[in-house]
Amino acid sequence: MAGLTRRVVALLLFVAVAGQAEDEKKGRKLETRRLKMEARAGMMSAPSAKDELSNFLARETQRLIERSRTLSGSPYEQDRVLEALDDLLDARDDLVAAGQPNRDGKKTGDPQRSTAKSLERAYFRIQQGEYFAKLSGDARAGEYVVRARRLYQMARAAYDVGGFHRATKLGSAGAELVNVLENLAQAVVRRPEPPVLE
Amino acid sequence: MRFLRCLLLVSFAGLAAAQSPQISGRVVDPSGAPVQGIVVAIGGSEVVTDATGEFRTLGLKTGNYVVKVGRAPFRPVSIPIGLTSAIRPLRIVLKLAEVRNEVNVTESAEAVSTAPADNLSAVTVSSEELRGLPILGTNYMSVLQEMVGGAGEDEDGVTVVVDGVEMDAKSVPIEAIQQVKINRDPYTAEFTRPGRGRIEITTRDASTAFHGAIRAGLRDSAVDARNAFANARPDENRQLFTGYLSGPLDRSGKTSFMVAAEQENENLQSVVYAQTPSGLLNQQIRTPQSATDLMVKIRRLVGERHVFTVRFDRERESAENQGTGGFRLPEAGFRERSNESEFRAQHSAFLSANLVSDLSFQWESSRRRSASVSQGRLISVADAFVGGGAQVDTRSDETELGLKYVLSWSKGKHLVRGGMDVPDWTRQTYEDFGNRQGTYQFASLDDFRAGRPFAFTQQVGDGRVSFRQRTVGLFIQDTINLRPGLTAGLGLRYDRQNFISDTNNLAPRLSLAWSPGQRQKTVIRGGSGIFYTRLNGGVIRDALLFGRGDFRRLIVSNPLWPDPSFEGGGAALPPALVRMADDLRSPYTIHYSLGVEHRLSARTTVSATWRGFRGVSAFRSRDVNAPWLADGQRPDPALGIVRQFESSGTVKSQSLELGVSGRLSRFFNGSIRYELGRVMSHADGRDALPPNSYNLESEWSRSNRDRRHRLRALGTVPVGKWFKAGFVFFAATGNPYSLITGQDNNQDGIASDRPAGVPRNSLQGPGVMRLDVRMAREFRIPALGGRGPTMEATVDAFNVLNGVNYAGYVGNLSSPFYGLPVSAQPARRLQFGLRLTF
Repeated sequence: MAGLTRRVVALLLFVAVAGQAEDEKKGRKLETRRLKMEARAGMMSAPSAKDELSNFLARETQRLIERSRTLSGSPYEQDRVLEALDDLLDARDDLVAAGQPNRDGKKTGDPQRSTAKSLERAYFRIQQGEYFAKLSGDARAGEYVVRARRLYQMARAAYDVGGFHRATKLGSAGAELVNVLENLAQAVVRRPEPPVLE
Repeated sequence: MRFLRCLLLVSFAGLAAAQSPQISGRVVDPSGAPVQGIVVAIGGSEVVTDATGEFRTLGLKTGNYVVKVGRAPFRPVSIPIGLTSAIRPLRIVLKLAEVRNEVNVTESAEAVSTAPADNLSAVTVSSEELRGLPILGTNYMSVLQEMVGGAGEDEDGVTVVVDGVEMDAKSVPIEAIQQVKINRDPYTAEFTRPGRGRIEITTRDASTAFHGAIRAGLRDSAVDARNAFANARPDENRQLFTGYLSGPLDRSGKTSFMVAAEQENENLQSVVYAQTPSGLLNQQIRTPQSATDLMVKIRRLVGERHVFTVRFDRERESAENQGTGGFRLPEAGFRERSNESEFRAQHSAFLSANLVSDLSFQWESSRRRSASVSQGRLISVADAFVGGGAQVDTRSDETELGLKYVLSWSKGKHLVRGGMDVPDWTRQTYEDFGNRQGTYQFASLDDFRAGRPFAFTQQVGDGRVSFRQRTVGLFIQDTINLRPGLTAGLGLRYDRQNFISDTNNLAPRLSLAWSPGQRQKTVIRGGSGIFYTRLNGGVIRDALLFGRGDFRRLIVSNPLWPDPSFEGGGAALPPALVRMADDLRSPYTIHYSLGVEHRLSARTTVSATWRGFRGVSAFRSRDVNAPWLADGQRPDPALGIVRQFESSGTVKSQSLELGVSGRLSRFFNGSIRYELGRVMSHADGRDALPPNSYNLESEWSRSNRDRRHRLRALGTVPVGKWFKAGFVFFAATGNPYSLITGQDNNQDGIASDRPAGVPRNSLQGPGVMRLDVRMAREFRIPALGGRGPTMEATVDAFNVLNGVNYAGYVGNLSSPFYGLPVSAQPARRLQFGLRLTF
């Protein structure tokens, strides 16, 4: 009997340790991801004082980095904030690429048609911005929506004058800002679970 | 117990067996390379060797024959054969004309071949064997697909390859089939699909002497058993007429023809088993179907080096009251009509002793129509009943061109095949008039009684769409005999399709076979390859139709009942859209296998194969405008469901197959295969929307095709002197299915939500077991004597043990049938036939 008890205790200890190890592993992964994001953000060039949009993105990057540092105790929330940070950095990349000539080197069909399609997707995404801004409860969420819309208008203007590469990148940057809002909303509002089976 | 009973029966059938006579073999050149396209004359008939140099005769009777093979630059040879029973496959080595004529006829050595096309995990069925199997009407494809299916089958289904060219699932008349091969050379680069995804059909060759057969079949429910869910035995019958005629068109015998035709009329019945507000409805309804198929093939030999073949195939089908049965009431049925025509021209040129060119061009045209049998709104009460008008009115027209060019070159240790393959160059026109009056959806019967629908959907606008789909492939395949007993296959294929901008679709393929030792009785065979998936025409159609704005699917959550009362014809309602993701790419599947094949005796082999695949970037759908909260409020309130079709899924499968085939004893000839497998995936199909579109990873679970165990056996065997028996046995554990609440808990417009913590396909469906048997008696017509026509009388029994095979259980917690089956596969059925061969 004592042998059995010892085995059961050993098994429970093993399960507890294994579970703990799993949690630790997840935590380490998130920490590595956070450090990578910070490094990526650090490699980005500082915006000029006149560029209001870039300044906003740089400020928000710093704010989300600070926020992710404080969330090591809640992995789900930290994961979502890091995802938002990733989207924000993508938006910054798109914005930089919009100011540069097309270096993709790919010739994939009619650029006007593909840009129009891309702007259509961006429009759809930006239309969703207000919904996620409201859910996120973030004080700066409204600014994201305003800037996403402004980016879309800039993209439309670029499209009208034949700047298809610039239009695509600006539209994509706008959509990325809504992605940031979606992840921030998910970080604070849990999706309702379906009913538990009785 | 039932399982054991069946196994015993299969074994017993095998004990009473022997093999029917046939002549088969392989023709090779002096270097040992297969000679493709050479005519082998046996008695009065002719067959042509396939890409692997193999040939197989049609149904022969015992007697003396002379096998003649000859074509420049080889010397013609004649081999007398005394055919008393089945003989071992021949190996005919041809010598060049200028060299002393020497013919090597050997009964296939007891060695196992290491050629990639000789894998023992392949299944080869001759026309004789196919004729000996119990096949319901002309539906041989269902028997063949059962052989292909299993854990090794990926989600892209099965392609039918007819005379070396891929085509859609349309079949050829059963009497026009000379041979069927499944899973031959699994990793060849010549085809887009792996071995388990191909059914290769070789059509019967035109012959230089007149041959033919006429068959009539009859089935009547008077001798059938009752379906488990039917109140009474259904009043069903079937008449079947098939036949072929083959012969010369000129005196020289260089031009010959083959005509095959079949006509099938079925009066079937479906069983409705539904829970309506007025109680349980159990009713049978007629679902008559008819099909006609005609095929004409003409072959002409020009000189000694060119063979021209043209083929025309026309098929018509009609079916009434389709879709009815189970929960679906008779009023919600629809009728279908389809016409298909195909023309194909092929040219084979034997440019030299080691260089063969094959060019094939095909044109196909098809029309399909479906129309509801009654008009009115469709009312769907989840897993209780579906009533009202079906509203599936659609028209579809398709014109398809195909081209394939293959150049085969053999020298020394190499056999190289390369060329271009255009399997799909299609123009499709589709008109969708479906769901114009709307569909009410109720989560449960109680909700229906209370007049509380959870959704109303309706399609409005111009439902016409037309588009072109283009797929082009290039391939090269080298089969290298590295040394005796060691063969490698190296291949590379490139496929490109429109509608997907991803162009990086290189697909390398590799196979290796090694037979250790001198006797070469055992072969270790392995391989791996990448296979790209073609975009389904239905996905393109939906994306074009719902993406352009003038055709809309309206979805109203919690609508008014019984009139949804739209203002302005629903113009203000948010429409549902379908679109393809920006980063959509060609999904691909990495297949791999490793197996051991061992020849126990000259005619018996065993094999064990471990195989698997991993599907990368698999297609799946999600709603990119799904509500985050359970308040029905969508992120973009101007739109409803936005179904995005994306390539972000994964599928994984592994299986172990054990097989034995050939003659296990002097009484048994056939094939028995057992498979233990597992399939995991992210989605059950490309169009299925997940309950949570924001967390697709939670969908990773068992696939709905994940059957753990499968046992398949088939054989065609004589029982004593008087009868021949053929059987097909299939037993498998059931498919899993999902447990759902039946409610739209997250208010996303789809009532497919699962209870918290319950994965997809968590429940286990019922297993199936079926044994089909054919008994045949062949006799000569005495008045004509000698080697005149023969008559064969057959009796087929399907599901001869009359076991109840449920079609599935209901997993909807809101359904009155939760946990219960509502339909079953047919009970025992008998079919009688007569076949005259001349």
